[in-house]
This record gives sequence, C-alpha cells and structure tokens, in this order.
Amino acid sequence: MLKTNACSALTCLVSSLLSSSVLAQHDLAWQGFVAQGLISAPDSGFVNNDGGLSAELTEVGVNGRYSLSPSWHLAGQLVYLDGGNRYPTGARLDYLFLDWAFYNSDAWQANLYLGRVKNQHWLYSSTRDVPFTRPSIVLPQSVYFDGFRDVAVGSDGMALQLRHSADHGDLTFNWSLGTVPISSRQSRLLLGHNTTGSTDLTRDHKASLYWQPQLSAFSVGLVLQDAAFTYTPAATELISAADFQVQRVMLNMRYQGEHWELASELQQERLQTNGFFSPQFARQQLGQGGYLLAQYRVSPAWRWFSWLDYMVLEKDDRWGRAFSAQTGGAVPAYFAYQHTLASGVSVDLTASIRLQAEIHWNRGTARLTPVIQPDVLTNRREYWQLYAMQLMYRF
Amino acid sequence: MRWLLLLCLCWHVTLNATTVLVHPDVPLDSISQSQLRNIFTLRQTQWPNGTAVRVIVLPEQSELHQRFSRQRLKLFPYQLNTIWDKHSFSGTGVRPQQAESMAAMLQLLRSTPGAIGYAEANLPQPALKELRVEN
Repeated sequence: MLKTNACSALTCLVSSLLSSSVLAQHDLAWQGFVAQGLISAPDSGFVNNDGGLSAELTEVGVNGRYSLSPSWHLAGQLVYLDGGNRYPTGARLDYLFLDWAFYNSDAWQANLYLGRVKNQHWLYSSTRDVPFTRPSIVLPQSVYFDGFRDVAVGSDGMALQLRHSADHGDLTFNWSLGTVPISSRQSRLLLGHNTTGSTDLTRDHKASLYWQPQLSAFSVGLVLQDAAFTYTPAATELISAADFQVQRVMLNMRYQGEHWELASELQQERLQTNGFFSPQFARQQLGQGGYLLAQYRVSPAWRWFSWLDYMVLEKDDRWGRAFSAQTGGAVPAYFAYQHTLASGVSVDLTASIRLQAEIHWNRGTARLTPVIQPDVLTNRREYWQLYAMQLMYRF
Repeated sequence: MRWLLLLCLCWHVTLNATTVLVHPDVPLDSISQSQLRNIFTLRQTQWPNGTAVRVIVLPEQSELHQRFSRQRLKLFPYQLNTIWDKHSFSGTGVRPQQAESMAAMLQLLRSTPGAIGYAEANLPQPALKELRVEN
C-alpha cells in the first residue's frame, strides 16, 4: 500500500512537473532511459525456472529534479523493472526526496536528504538500475545481490552527505537511517517460495567515508551497515517467528586512468538468525566476498570489461561441507558459495544508444534466490553460465 | 635556436590554452583549480553570494571540452560523464546544460545568471567575465 501510494505521488509529481511549461528551463531537469535485453542462465533459476532464453531484462525509468531555491530541491524517479526471478517485477518509486543543501562553499558542502533516498554508500548502488551507469548488465552478486535489490537500493528515512576539499584531497562522508517496505514477493524471494508471512525491515543504518587524494586517480572508501529484519509467520505456517540481523563492513577502491579503470569492493557480513526454523534456532554466519573489476576503454565508443567475484556464506566453511551436513545432505554444499568470472563488451552506437553483451561463468549457487530455504530442484548444477545482451536508450 | 624553440613552445601552449568564463554577475575574479573542479563535478552548487551555479559545457566529443577537462580539471571526459550520470540519476544533481556550439555556449553564458563555462584563451569575449585560475 505504501509503495502504491508513493508511486501515485511520484506519478503526480512527474506529470505536474512535465505540464508546468511556465517553469524556467533551469528550474526543472528531467531525463530517462529504456533498456531491453535477452538473458539466459541454463541449469539455474537465476532468471526463470526453466533456464531458457528470456526477455525478462527490462529497465525503464524517468526522473526529475526541481529547484525550489538554490538550497532546496525536490527529486524523484519512477522505474519499471522486469528481471524474472532476480527481483519482483513491476513499477517502483525508486526515490522521492527533499534535498536541503544547508551549507555550500568552495571547501565544504553539506546536504540533508529527507524521504525515500538512494543508497549512496557503495560504488554503484545509487544507479544500479540505470544501464548506462553500471559496468555490467548483471553486477557482481557478492555485493550487488539482486535478491536483496529492493532492500539495498535505498530506504525511507533520512540521509546526510558532508564533503570537504583541502590540500589532502576530497573527503566525502555519507550517513543514512531508515526502513524499507518489503513486499510479499520480495519476502518469498529472500526466505523461500512457500513462505506466506510478512517480513519487515525495522532498521537500516549505513555510514561510509571516501577519500580521494588531490588530483589522484585513486579513491578509497569504508562502508558500515547495520540492518535488522523480523519475520512474522502466517497463522497456517509451521515456520517460527524470526529476527535477522545483518552487519556489513566493506572496503572499496577505484582507479580511473585514461583507458584502464579498476574497481574493487571487499566485504565481510555477519548474519545472525534467531528463530524461523524453530523457536530456539540460533545461527551466526560470517560471510565474506568481494570483486575485482577491470575496464578498458578501447575507444570513446568501445569498452571491454571483466570481473572476478567471490563470496562464501561462512568464512570457516568455504566449501559448504558443514553447511550441507547440517541439512543432512538435503542442500548441496555448493549453496554455500558462489564464484564468478564475467566478461563482456559495450559499444555506444550513438550518444544515446548503447549495446552491451556479457558472459558469466559461475561456480556455486549461494546468490540464487531464495537464500534461507534454497531451491535445490531448480538450481541443480554447481557450474552454470549466464548470457546477457541489452540495448539501452537514454533521453 | 634554443630561444626560438622555447618561443614556439610557449606560443603552442598559449594557443591551446582554455579560459574560464562566467556571467558578469558572478561575484568572483579568480578561482582555484580545486574550486573549479568542485564546480564542474557538481559539488559546489552555489556562488559565495548564495546564487545558483549554472554549468555550461560543450558536447563530450568536442575537442575543446576534452582539452578543458584534461588541462583545467585534470579529469578525463568519461570521468566527468560518470560523475554527472551518478548525480543526475540518483537525484542529487543535474547534468550541466549542454551548448551545441561555441556560439551557443557564449550566448548561454551571457544570458544565464550564475553561468560558468569555458572558451579558447586569448579571444576577447565581450559582456563576459574571465576568471583567473590559481593553482
């Protein structure tokens, strides 16, 4: 209901903005994108349950930013996404917030954002749905887990950004606190196909600090996250009520040269589960993961990329033997890890049209949904591939 | 002979230099390289008197834009584009207004209060203020 109301509000906002021809051009800026692709991930349920070629690779978005004054702005974006099993299909209010630039000088800038704000903490989190802005069609799942997309993309609450420039370089501090409405479809994607209860994210607290030495090609960052979920089972379910706590620490770096661009994000994540399988059930997992991405700009139009992604659910059980044994062998060990090598190319056909294609070679299925009750019938192979091609247009 | 070479080099550098131009109302006469970079990367969005900064750029493939980006901002044009996309698609900023030609750039700079852009150095631009860039 919240999402529906929010979507209606944005639709009104966009239509009123577009119809306001009296507005000075610089008071309103709007733009958008349309992307359609083909994707296939045989022997896995990444996109669909039969693993066949699919057109469920659709991303459409329109956004606007209206200047109320030099210090106050209103910004919103509506997106429609279809990614098959990757995340719930449909329209979403991606963000809608009030931006107050309460201090802005040559050395210091400070902004407060109120409303549905984007996750500005990771390298690609704020624009992960915008095809032109991300390095690959499907991002490294260790960090950008699609099953967690709606939860990780932003939150309803507030965010603060402080930036400082001095002789030592540029510092950027981000902080955010909020909650995220979780749909029943999203809940089933995370927990299990047959769950019918409700999942609530009660707290999502993030902070990050980035540093770029003056005029350097390098930048580094540190990100902290603390999130808490609850699961309330339906009356007919045998599942117990549950609390989940996720705490993540992430380090990242980026190098931007004339032709080469390197990026890496490394994380450690603690997942504490209390309940769900039984009222007394308690488990703590300390997962690790990260990726190394290399991009090479062959020419202004052509770009090649490759990345290596690694993740394990439990750092002391990297090959999932104990994980599988706990289920009596019902869940294969390869559900405890996922390692991927991906490579692809993109070409800008015009200034507003891009074509991109990529292949992923995967070992393990830990990032295939659902994660709490894995789908062992659909995800039946330890080794699987993913092929994707997407045509993107921006306006 | 050595002096002649040095003279040619200076002449070449001057010929290829870019200059920063602003609307006459902008309350500055000089700007630091760091501040210039903050403005073109959409960090600094207000002038010292509180009015909004309006960034005007030429198309990415423009040779002058590429030269300005590398010489003055110490950024490759794709980096600027990446930063502008990140701001504009996450709602925290607006892409700079694009002028399709140098004539359009000068016209926009003259008609837009708070505007900042660039041009070839050593070409007089009436009704515009040239900002001195200090390192």
